[in-house]
Amino acid sequence: MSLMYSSFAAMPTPAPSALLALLGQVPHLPPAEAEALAARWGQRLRLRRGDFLVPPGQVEQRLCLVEQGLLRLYYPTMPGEETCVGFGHAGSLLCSFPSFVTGQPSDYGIQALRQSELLAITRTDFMDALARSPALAQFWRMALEQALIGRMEHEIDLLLPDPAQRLARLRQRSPHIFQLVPRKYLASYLRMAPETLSRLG
Amino acid sequence: MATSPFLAALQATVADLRATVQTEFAALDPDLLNQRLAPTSWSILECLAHLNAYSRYYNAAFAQALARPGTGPAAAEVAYSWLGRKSIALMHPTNRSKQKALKRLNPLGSRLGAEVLQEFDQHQARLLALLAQAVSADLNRSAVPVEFFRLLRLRLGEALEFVVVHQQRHVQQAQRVQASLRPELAC
Repeated sequence: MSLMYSSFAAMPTPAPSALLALLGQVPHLPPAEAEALAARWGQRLRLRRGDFLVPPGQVEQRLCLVEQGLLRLYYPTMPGEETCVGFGHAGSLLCSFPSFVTGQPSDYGIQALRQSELLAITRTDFMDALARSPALAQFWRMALEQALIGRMEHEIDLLLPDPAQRLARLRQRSPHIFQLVPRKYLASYLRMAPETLSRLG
Repeated sequence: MATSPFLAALQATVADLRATVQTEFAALDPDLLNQRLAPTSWSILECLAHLNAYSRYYNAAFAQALARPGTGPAAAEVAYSWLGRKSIALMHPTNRSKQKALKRLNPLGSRLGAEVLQEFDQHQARLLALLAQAVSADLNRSAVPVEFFRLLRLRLGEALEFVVVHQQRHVQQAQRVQASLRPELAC
């Protein structure tokens, strides 16, 4: 009996459901690899509104999964002026990508727009897991491809002179974002004044 | 089409849909299952709840139709009525135009739980049993009253096909929802 209890106590704490949901969406990931990855993806971060996940100038050392909340990625264009370049919400994988890849200080900042909870894995642990697991590598490649497509779509947005067209394209591409992100930040993302966005509806 | 390959094809499709729902959706987080892509579009669970509402009616109607003894021997070929052909074409997944669901069959705006998945599975098990039972029935007998206007009847065979293509339609819709919920890298 006591043996049963001790083996029960030795069981690892179950991984959070957001992480299980993420790993559940990785095609053909063997359960052993999923467990190993979940064990290393355990650093929990709680941010209050306004807190930085990554302030501009810091080196990005982690990849985060957003469990809940909302964050913005922004670029400080001029002193006192910032441009939103992306958003992280429940289910997003989030990092300051250029810094994550190069190890150079991040030009971008990542800031919580609402109270947010994230799960982090260190860059080294993640890269190590990618090298070991073909299934994870395949999933990561797909995520990168989608992110690249998203970036290219946004680049086209920014080339269009008509704000209504930029808005229509975003509505088509990511209708859910309009339920999640305050208008002010969407306007910045679409390179228009908040007044213009509210006039366009 | 001859009746036995017709029923076999429907059974295979239903088994596929059942497996898809169990393997792809059962493991997902409840928040994800309830997530809507747009305010007026259905979540994964709403797609399935809509199908459950149909199954509650049609499975009972099929059972009733099969319980009444047929007048003649089973027909060799499945034949369609005008209404049956139209209904199937309208609901077929290859018809990508959006159809409006009746208000009472529209679950939009609900917060649903895993019981929707269990109910879906039970309905599929029942439907498979009914399809097996239909082998000895006359599929061309006009026997299944249409849900929204019960004076109209569909033939048994075409009604079975209608329900299956309708299920295919919305399981595919749910799969599209799932694909766009796949965790994206924000960078």
